[in-house]
Amino acid sequence: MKKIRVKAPVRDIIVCMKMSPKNRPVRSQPRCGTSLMELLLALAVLSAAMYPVVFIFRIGNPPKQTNQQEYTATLLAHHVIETIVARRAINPSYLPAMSDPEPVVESAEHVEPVSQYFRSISSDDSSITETNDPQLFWTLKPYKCQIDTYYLDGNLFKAIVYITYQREGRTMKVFFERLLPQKALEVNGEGEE
Amino acid sequence: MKRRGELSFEGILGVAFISLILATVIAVAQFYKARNPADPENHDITASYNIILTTLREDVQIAAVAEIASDSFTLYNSQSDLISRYAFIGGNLHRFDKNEKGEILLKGVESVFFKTGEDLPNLLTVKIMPADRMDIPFFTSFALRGINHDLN
Repeated sequence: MKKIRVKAPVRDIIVCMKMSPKNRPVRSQPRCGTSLMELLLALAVLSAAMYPVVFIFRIGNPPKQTNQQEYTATLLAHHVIETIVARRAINPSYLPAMSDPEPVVESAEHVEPVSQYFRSISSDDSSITETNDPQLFWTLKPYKCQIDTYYLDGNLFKAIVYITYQREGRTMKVFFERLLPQKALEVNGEGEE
Repeated sequence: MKRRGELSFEGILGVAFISLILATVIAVAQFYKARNPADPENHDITASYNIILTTLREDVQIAAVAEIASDSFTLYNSQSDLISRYAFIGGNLHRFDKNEKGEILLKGVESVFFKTGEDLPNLLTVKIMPADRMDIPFFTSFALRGINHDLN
């Protein structure tokens, strides 16, 4: 016997959809509860299963250095630490003096003096101003440099260089640390700055 | 009885397996694309700056003297042997090793400025201005550690 599939007319489908809730087949209540539990369970399993996929994407993505402000701050902190290292090469008892946050370029807006580590960095051995190096001036203007020097045990000092800047109304900090052994203290019993 | 739309256990495993393979392929493609410096979409000035920073840091570990010219500087060790030479030629920053083998460290440079202080001859200050004004300049210093190995 030949089977023929008959497609229901559109009108009949619409009539079926308009059926009152009373006429619809009613599902039993325990069936609904089981479905919800199954859904929650499926979500939990799916969340756990997604972790390796997210991990794969995370390691696939390069660590982009999108924050150029932070990168410049890192370069400035590097400059200060290297200056301290160079000074200690000439004078091993040199210790960096503690300072408040000081600007790194000379500007009329700044009340504080330029940080000592940035006073002779331009081509004419002066600090950077808007006239002698405008591009670098506007790049470095938001930054301030602060030095903290602590005494640790065993004639050991620690210098911390903070470079601060504002981003979205928040003060951001990049800091470099360096341990500075003081051999002179052992010999003379006193240090000098 | 199997409900409509319900997958078998083998079916779920198959879908999960295919999803993982697809995700891995996409991630590997992304990784390769991002690590390919020839791709112009991957222009990130800080990546080039990192190369300069790393290379110079390695050189200054053994450098004792920096000889500065207008667009270049040469690093020598304590025995006056050449370590490397950095030069600004044709809008690019080049590095030449002791065998004069050159490599381009950074393309698209507008100007460079190198100096050592009068009071600090062992501190090399490097400033690089990129041709693209939207990029940040490179400004930092390097202590020549070849004089005193205690500094390392």
